[in-house]
Amino acid sequence: MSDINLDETLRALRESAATETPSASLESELLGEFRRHHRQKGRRRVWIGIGIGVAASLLIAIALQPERPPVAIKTPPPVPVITAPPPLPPAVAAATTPAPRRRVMRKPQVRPQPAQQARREVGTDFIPIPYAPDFRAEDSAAIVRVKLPRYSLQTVGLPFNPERANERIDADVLMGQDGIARAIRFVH
Amino acid sequence: MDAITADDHRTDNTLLRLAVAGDEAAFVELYRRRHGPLYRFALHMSGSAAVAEEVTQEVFMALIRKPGAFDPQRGPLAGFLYGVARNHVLRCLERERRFVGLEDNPAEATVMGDLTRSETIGAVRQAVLSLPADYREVVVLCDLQELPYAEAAGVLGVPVGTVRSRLSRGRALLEDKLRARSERCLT
Repeated sequence: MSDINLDETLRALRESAATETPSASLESELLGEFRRHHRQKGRRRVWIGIGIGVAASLLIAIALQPERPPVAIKTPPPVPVITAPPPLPPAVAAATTPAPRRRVMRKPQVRPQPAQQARREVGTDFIPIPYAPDFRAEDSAAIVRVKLPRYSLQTVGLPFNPERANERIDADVLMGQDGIARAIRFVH
Repeated sequence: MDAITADDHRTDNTLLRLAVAGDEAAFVELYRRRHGPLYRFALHMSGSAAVAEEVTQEVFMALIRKPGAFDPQRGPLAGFLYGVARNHVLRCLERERRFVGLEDNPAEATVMGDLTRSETIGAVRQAVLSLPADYREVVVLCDLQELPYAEAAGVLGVPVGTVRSRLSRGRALLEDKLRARSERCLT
């Protein structure tokens, strides 16, 4: 083989390998992975659909709510303005400067634990959403915590401060089995 | 011939689109069409059936999990799959250091003056495996997988001229290795 015919030897190698394939089990493994992947994708789609449904039904409920006159919020009386006294001459200022105070050790502040925070949460009762289907006691339901702009308080007849209309407020939405919102309560 | 034709290109893309939408039959068809060439590419590159199988699996896993990584504007699907396979092969070779040169494998030497067909195949396989990776991949893609230069260039991400020069150099190295082996056998 001192005179090498490279094309011939490469062709021989190519032909010898032409029937080489991975094991048959690889196809079924990949098919299993394909099915798993698409099942998970399907579940993700269902949850996204539910989320969109919840949001849409809430928006529809809010949009269909008849307008009510905004509730006037009592604002506190204006605080009298106190003008600052004229600056004292330097000598007087030095004399009236209080002596340096002794440092006082503060008690370390204890942050409230999540459980304590939860206990301090206050909320309204559940308010039925107008035009939503009837909710029967035997129906199963889920409560979903959402954040809504404060102006949505007025849609269920609750007072709100127009100056904070766009701030967010927590709300629990009672969802029926069909994904339609039945009632809402606001929590703080 | 494992070259990528325009018809394959269109059909591959259609199959992939259907598979991404969850069509199992389309995925199976795509797998059956492309797994052989990819497996053989990985086999010639690594010399290991286990690595070739692992690479084939990884390529199709990537296609299932991240089909968006393939951009039809940048070339045919088969080229993309070869590119993914190549990356996995190089990673496996780095990990396992399975390079086996002719000189490192004296058991392959034969006492016969000429090589029989199976010995020739074994010898050329070992010679291909002993080439540096840059030359080996062009020899495998162009000579063993019979990809056109332009497609091999697309897979490797280099100009066609580079493919030509690497192929020429790779083939010269192969000839040298086979001649040296043949002379060793004769003496």
